[in-house]
Amino acid sequence: MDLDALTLARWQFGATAFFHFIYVPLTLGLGILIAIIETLYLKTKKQVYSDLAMFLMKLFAINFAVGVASGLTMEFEFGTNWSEYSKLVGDIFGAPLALEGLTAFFLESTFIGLFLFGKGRVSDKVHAFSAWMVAIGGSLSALWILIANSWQQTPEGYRLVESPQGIKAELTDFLAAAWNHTTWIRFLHTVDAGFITAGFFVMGVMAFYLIKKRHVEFAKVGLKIALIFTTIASLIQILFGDLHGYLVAHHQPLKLAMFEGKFQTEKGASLDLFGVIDQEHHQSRMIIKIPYLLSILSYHDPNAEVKGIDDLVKEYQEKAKEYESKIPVIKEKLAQATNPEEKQKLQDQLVEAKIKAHALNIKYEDLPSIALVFTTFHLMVYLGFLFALIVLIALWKLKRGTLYNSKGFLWILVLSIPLPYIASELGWISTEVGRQPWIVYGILKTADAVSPVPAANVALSLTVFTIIYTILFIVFVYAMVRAINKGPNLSPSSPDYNTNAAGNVGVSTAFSQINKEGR
Amino acid sequence: MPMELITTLNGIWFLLAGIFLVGYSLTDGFDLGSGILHIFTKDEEIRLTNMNAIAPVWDGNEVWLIAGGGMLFAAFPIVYAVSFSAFYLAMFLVLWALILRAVAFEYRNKKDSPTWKKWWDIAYWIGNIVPAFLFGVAVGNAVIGIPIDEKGVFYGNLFTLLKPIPILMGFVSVFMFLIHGVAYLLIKTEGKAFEFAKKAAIIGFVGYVVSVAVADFFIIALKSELFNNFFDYPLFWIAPILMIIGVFLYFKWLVVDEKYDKVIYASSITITGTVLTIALASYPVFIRSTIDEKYNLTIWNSSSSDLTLTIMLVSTLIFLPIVIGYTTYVYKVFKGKVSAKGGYGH
Repeated sequence: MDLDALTLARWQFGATAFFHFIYVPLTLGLGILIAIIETLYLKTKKQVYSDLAMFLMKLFAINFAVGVASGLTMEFEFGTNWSEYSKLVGDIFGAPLALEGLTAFFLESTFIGLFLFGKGRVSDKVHAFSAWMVAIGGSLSALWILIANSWQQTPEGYRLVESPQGIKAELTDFLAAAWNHTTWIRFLHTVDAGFITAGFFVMGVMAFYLIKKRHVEFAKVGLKIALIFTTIASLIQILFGDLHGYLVAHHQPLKLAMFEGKFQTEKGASLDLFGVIDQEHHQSRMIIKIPYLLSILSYHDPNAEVKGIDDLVKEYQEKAKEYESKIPVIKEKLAQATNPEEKQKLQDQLVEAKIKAHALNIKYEDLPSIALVFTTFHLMVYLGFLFALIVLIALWKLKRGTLYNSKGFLWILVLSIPLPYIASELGWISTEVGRQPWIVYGILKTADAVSPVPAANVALSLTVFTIIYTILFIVFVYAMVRAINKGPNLSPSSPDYNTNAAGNVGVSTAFSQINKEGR
Repeated sequence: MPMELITTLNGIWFLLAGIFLVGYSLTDGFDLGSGILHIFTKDEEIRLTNMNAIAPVWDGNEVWLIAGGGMLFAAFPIVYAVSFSAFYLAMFLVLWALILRAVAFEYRNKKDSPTWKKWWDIAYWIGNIVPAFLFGVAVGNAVIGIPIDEKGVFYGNLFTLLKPIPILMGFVSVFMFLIHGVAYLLIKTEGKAFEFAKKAAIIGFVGYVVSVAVADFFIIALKSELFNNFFDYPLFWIAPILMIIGVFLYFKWLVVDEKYDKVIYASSITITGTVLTIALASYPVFIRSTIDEKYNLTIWNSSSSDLTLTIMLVSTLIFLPIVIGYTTYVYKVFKGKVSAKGGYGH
């Protein structure tokens, strides 16, 4: 019965987070892109930039509405489904969530309203300012969430104490907890993934208009801006990805071993590109191996040792035993201690020993599906390289002046829209599943974090959520497609103003001027 | 007033929790209130006008709930963990409703089809009435107590929560949001929509007064100890007096003076008074345990460490005024009447 509730709660959180994360990356990148375009308008006063920003903000709003709704669920699920977790980490984990609301979310949602409805009521400067506030709000929001998430991955700045409701992690150093070793790279990596998502999204939409010969001049401008934006984001991401791997190797060696499918410890470890994981027999069969590359990437040293899953599990078990054996020793010392300061210190040690002896005692069977972690991680990386390839080809075509006319390539851009979404979800799955069996790395097992709620209730809420989310997703796609089909509200002075839906391009004075710039 | 309310971090945070609840009720409250009206008119023009009235601001308003939830998690994690797992299904009903509301709002006007609109209208209404009602029910349960043990494990189900007093408080909260929503519409609308809002204001006002009176009657009869705080700390009377002043002004401005622009001040005072009255009646308990008094979750046994409370307090003191500042600015930008036209969905 307990296991059932746990499994269902896992599914529910996984489903909610998966769903929420469909909407988040686009918000992160599109906000910045819109703000950049609004600023271009402010500088040049070219109507097409303003039309572009307004159009994209409408798409942003459709996306944002579902994002908020699903984010709301996530925030409350910590309490409803993971109350034991919330009790243990509330002192630390709640703060970034609260600060997200206070510093980021208010900003984002208030200024979206101002941007969408304020045109004509506020000056252009204030309008552009509100675009920046939306963008900054989105990034700040991601920062706080990743601070919270990173603390779960690599907890720091806390001590463990006993309270009437059980053991709690108590904050001792806010900066250490918030800005731990992995926060910054997680933040950059995630936000940049959002940039790529938004970039491909806008490129795809504009490519679609070009294929259909609608709003042609508008689409050319949009495609070009989005392409430059995406190129920078995609190339930087390769660097960020590498840095992220380096930090995971240092702070979460078990996760790295699962990412790479390494069961045995290897010196001068190879990077394995394709393979099959056989978890039952503790082995993986790889097809393409690049010698030394994993050691170089992970430790910047070709001969460095990369620990395998088997050894790591043993290591954790030994550590757990070590803590276990410390418990009676500390208890004895505690009985003799008279100095209150020393007593406090010993009590802290005792709580820590108890928690770690339990949490670090993991068995091989507790590990998640390694094939899942391996596959999702590898696919994400391959997609990352694919994005870089696509934008480089696009840039080359832009330079040759053929980008706007090569129908085949424009179709590739349209069909690429879902790929960055998939990459984000894959990355999220690999990093979250890769953290298992812990919910807080080395302190709290996921199995100990679940709420004492009857399995039937969780089953019911999971079912209803699945239905609601599925309907929501269909409606979301429908609304997006409709809005895209409808196209931008072009101002009378825009070059495409005389373009009708059938695709006949009318002539206007500004037309040739923009046309020149498009090249 | 007990000194610890303003001299200890835990006390200050109890008040801040109350302020966030008031903040949510004052902002998202009028969205919910205007949404509750939705199915009580068949007139498309009125419906659209009412939706346009809240369109630029409702997203920001709902953030009060998100920020409030985060604040509760940060400052009183045990209350957060216990209440949400105890109110499991009720909580999810609220979440589903809020999702429906958000999506209905965004999508209703995306297509000119009567069937499409009809379904989204129902979804929109459910999305407004359910949270409005269940907020009252949840607060009512926290105040009169639920069966929780020393670890905060809840012994009951959804029906355990549906007792007379919480249900009555559910009605109080529906009418409280309704009179506030209508007051907002009185400022934002004209013509047909305005006349409709005027009628609804009177019905809502009567509903609010009656539901408060009946709820009070039941509390006096069944749970009179909830009044103890007001006799122990006479300053607490400020809250119920505010509520009464609000009700009086509401009637005066709406019916006697017909100063429709002012009615919203009255509903704001009423809401502030109502929410604070309940909070102060409960002080220092967040959630009462009906199993044993010892298991009550209080501001003392369910809070975060002093360090977290301090950091959060400083952050709140810095950022809350900024939030209120730009929110006020945006409201000023959108000052004036709205019509059925406009809105970005067309």
